[in-house]
Amino acid sequence: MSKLYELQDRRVFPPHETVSMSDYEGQVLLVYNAAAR
Amino acid sequence: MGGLQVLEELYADEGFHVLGFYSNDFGKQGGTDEQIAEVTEKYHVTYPQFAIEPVSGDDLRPVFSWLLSHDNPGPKTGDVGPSWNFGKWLVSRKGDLVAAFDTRSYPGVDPNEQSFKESPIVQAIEAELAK
Repeated sequence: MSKLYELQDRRVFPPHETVSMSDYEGQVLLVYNAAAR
Repeated sequence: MGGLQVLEELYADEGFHVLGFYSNDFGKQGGTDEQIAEVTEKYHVTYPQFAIEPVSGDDLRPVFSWLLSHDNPGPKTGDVGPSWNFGKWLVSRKGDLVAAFDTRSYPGVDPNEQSFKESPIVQAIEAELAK
């Protein structure tokens, strides 16, 4: 299993809800970084 | 609507998602969650967006620590990591990093345009979804 799915991060909305990257296992993902304004 | 939201809506049913990670790393932007909320409403963003955390430096967020542990798969040149906002990375269904795109790579917002269909990002997404 990819190490990616062992990681967690905090969503902006709902406010700072922690989610596991395993929620996206089996999906093709386009990850990007953005400025917060 | 922005081009990444267009991708989300176009391919979500095939098992695709855009994941946005916010930071204030570049250009001393100093943005806030409230400003993210304004952008979310303005561009009708529905894909997951992750809270403001570093994407570069020594104390970077786990997903970007994972990204930066890879060799650059291209077509981006140079380091695999972000050099400015709007870097993009494609992850396969197996969780492998399969492509990195630089800040300027962008498909546009009209799926009917030939430039959209021929965009390296769109072609890479479709190739991964077809596997």
